[in-house]
Parts: sequence; C-alpha cells; structure tokens
Amino acid sequence: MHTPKLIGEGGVATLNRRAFAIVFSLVTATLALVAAASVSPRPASDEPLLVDPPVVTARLFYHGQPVRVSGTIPAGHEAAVVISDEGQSHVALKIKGRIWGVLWANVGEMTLDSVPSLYLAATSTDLSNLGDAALLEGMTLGYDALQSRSQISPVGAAAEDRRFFMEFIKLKEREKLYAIDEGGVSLQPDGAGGLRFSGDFFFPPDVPPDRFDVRLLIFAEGGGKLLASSDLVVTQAGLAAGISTLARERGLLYGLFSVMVALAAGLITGFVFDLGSKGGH
Amino acid sequence: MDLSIYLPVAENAVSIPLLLGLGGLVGFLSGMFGVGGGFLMTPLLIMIGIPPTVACASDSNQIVAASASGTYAHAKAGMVDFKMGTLMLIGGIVGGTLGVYVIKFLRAIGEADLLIHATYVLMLGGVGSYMFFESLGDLRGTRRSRLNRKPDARPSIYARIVARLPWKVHFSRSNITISALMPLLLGVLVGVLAAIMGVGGGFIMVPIMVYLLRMPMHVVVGTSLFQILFTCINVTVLQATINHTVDFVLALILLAGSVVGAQIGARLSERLKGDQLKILLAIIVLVVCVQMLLGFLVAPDILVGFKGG
Repeated sequence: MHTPKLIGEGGVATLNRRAFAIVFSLVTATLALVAAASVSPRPASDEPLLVDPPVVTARLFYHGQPVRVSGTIPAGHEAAVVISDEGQSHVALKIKGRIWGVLWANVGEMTLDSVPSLYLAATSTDLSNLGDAALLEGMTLGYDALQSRSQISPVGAAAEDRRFFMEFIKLKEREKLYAIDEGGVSLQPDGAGGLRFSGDFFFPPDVPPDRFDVRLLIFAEGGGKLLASSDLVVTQAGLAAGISTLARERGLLYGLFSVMVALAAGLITGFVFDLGSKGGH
Repeated sequence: MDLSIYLPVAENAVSIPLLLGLGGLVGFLSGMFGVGGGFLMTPLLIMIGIPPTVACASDSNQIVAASASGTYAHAKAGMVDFKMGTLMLIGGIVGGTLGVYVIKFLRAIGEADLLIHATYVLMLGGVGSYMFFESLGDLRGTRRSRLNRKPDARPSIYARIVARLPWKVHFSRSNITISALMPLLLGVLVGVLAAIMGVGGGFIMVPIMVYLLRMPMHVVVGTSLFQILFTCINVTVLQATINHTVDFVLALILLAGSVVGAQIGARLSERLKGDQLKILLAIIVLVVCVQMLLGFLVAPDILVGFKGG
C-alpha cells in the first residue's frame, strides 16, 4: 500500500527529534517536580487535615466518642473547625405559648428546612474576631449563618422567626448535637513556619449514623477560606447494627421475637418466684 | 466504669442501672395495682433522652413482660377473672380504634393538644380524688359501706340502668352477675380514653372495674393485667411492623427490672387490704395529675419542642 509522503525524509527525522525532545522535557519536568515535592518541606497549608478517629463505631457498649481534629495552617491565621451534615434535615417543631394568659400549651407548629442534624464548631478565637457577619455566613460558621441558610415555615415576622430559631438552637444544644466552642482550637508554632492546630470534640451517643463533613477554615485580615475538608463517618457495628437492621428490614419478625422474649421472661420469672415462695413455706 | 449501653433503635446510650431501676419501680407498681405503668414510664424514658416514639413502643414491649409476670402471679392466686377480662379486652380494641378517629377529629378542629391534656388532668384528678377519699373513709370506718345500706334504700339510677340491661352473665371469679354489655361498653370507653390520651388505660380501667363493675379489688388487679398483656402484645407487634420503633435492647433491660418488680408488687398486693391498695394507687394518680398540672402552669425553659415529643 502506498503511503503518501507529506514531508521529506529529512523533515521526518527533524519531527521525530522534536517530538522526542518535547516528550523528554515533559517527563523530566514531571520527575523533577515529583522529586522536588518529595524532598522539599511541604507548605504548611498542604498538610492533610487529621481526624482521629475518622470512623466512629457504635457498638453495644458505645457511649460517645472523643474526636480530635488536628493539622497545620499557615502562620498569621486563625482557625475554625466545623463538623456537620450541612442543610439536610427537615425538622417539625411545636411552638409553646400561653392560652388564656394562664396555661402553657402547644399553640402552633413550624418546620425548619436545611438545618444540620449535627453542628459542632470550635474556633481559635471569638467568632467576632474572625470576620464580619457576611464572611461567617458565607462559610456557614456560627448560628447566625445557620439561620440565614435555613428556611422557616410558616414565615413570620423576622423577630419572631429569630426567636424561635434560637429556641431551636437551645433545644439542640441541650441534646449536645449543636455546640460552638469559641477558643476551643489551640494554635502552636510547628517549627517550620506554620501553626499546628488541634481541637477536641465529643460525639455524644445520640449522633445518628451518618457521614459528616469536617471543615478546616482559616482566617486572616478580615478574609477567610476553606483550607481542607475531610469525612467523619458514624456507623453502627456488631450486635447493635444487627438489631437495628432487623428492626428496619424485618419489622414483623422483630416484633414477634420481642414479644416472645418478653412473654418468656415474664412467665419464667413468675414460675421462678412461684417455686421460690413454695420453697420458702 | 461506665455502665451504659447503646440502644440501636433509639440511637442513644443510657445507664443500665438506671433502666433496671426504672423497670423495677414501674413493674412493682404494675404488679401491685394492675396498671401498665406507661403513664409513668414513657415520660421518664423521654426525660433520659429516648425519642418519644421509641419510648412508647419499647415501653409496650416491656409491659408485655411485666404484665405476663404479674398475670401469672395473680392467676396462681386465683385472682384473674378471665371471662370479664376477655369481654373488656374486646371492648377495648373497638374503643381504641374509635379513639384513633376521635383524635383525628380533635386535631382537625384545632387545640387538640390542650383538649387531650385537659382530659388527662381531669380524669386523673377526678379518679384519683374519688378513690383517695373513698378509701380514706373506708380505712377510717367513717364511710357507710355499701353492704350496710338499708335494704329498703332506693337503688341509684346507675344501679337501676345496669339491672335492666339484657344478657346477664355470672362472673364467678368476681362473684357478680351483670349484663355482658357492661364490660363490653366500659371496655369501649376505656379504649377511647386510652387512645385519646396515648396511654394503656390501666389506671382508668382499675377504678372502672372497682366502682362501675363492683369487682373485688384483688381480682381487679389481676384482670386488669390480663387485658394489658394482650393490648401491649398488639401494640408492640404493630409498632415494630409499621413504625420500626421498638428498641429490643431497651425493652430487655427494662423488663429485666420490671418482671422482678412485678412479682414483688403482686406479693405485696396480696398482703394489703383492698382499701390500702386503692389509696396508694390514688396517691400515685394524684401525683401524676399535679405534675401534669404544673406542666400547664409553669413556663417552659424552651419555647419549642420536637413534634411527636
């Protein structure tokens, strides 16, 4: 088969040399970059965010889990760590109020959308020192930011909405599912021009099994950015997971089993006590 | 050493000794007075961090054990009127179904919560006060006994209506002869009230058996437990199947305490006089009533609550 010549033989040789030179240069440059990256100290901001442990496992004798978040940030910055599942929950609330000026009862209902089920935050300084409200809102840091991202229904006067939202926050704080620890992140020089940070959190046992975002935010001179993020997974395991799965997926069987065990326990105890009382007489 | 346990359906951890203690206390009351104890246990479980739906369903599960244990003890002593209990149970199931529709209607017209709680307080206050003063009178010997009434005294309107009802049946354990309609209709009434108030109904059932059916107090306790047993079996299976809210681990620890408590309660019940039992139950009912009343009068520290809570 005839192959048409597009360029001369000498041209082909020249093209091959050029192509080789380009490929060689690219490979060399890549290798040099990789080598440089491996031997030179990494910039502080590239340090991975360490979440310890990254997986919280709820077994039968689980009663909550301390979680430490640590890493390195550039010098001259403040840090904030936020653990949450942002904007997923839909919450139905009863509003309590006075009836006839005397009795306290449920007087209405409201729903909140796009509020996290868990919101744990810790900062290296007061929230007000990190930046203005707009900055914090943009980074979903603080309860004001949570409110601005949430949808309240039915919409009422701004002051009323604010009041009920803050009551909702009180409710979640009492459950220990919401917390903001201003000053809870410690900063120390890492000896390489950066700052080593760490923050301790406690995951209460009523945190539902889910995947949560861990965000590291840094702030300097009125500005801020997301430096790194990671996942933290809460999961059930062992017998606890088995029971939970059976309850969800085989409800009737689970219900019958629960009743049988209860009946057996009741009747056996009755029988044992009966024997005991007969023995005693 | 942390003696808490993780509850996989409730998704929370709770102290084991605390649950055993709660189970033992409520089981004791159950065995002694013939009440399921839901009106006491469910709020306590919610208070320690169990979601309300899981608290209700798991409590039903543990009541199965406590009432089985208590029924066994009372049946061995010949203190369960199975015939009466079965008729009231049938009425209770019909009443419970009716009650679900009543509550739906109440919610549709608004302010249902207030109406439900007001009914609760009035029922508890009325029943508790009546039982308390009646038993107090009997214990002091100041109240004229029904047996000592003059033979020519005109019977009450209630007694005359009851006497005219058809289908008379003799209930040998209770030693009374009344129309079979009575336990059926009263069972319906209890079922409706229990569904509206969201409780098992034992503390309404017991006074009704004592004052409206004129059953002896000791037979009332065993018979009430017999009905509660079947009601709670039904509720547990339905809750597990439809709502998936029965926490077996929670129920298991509660029942470990309650079955023992129920036995102790049942044995103590046999040693007490009927009036002593009534006055003690009246005091418990009145304490719960006052606690509910305070909930109406004292400003809550947080002005919102989770729906269903």
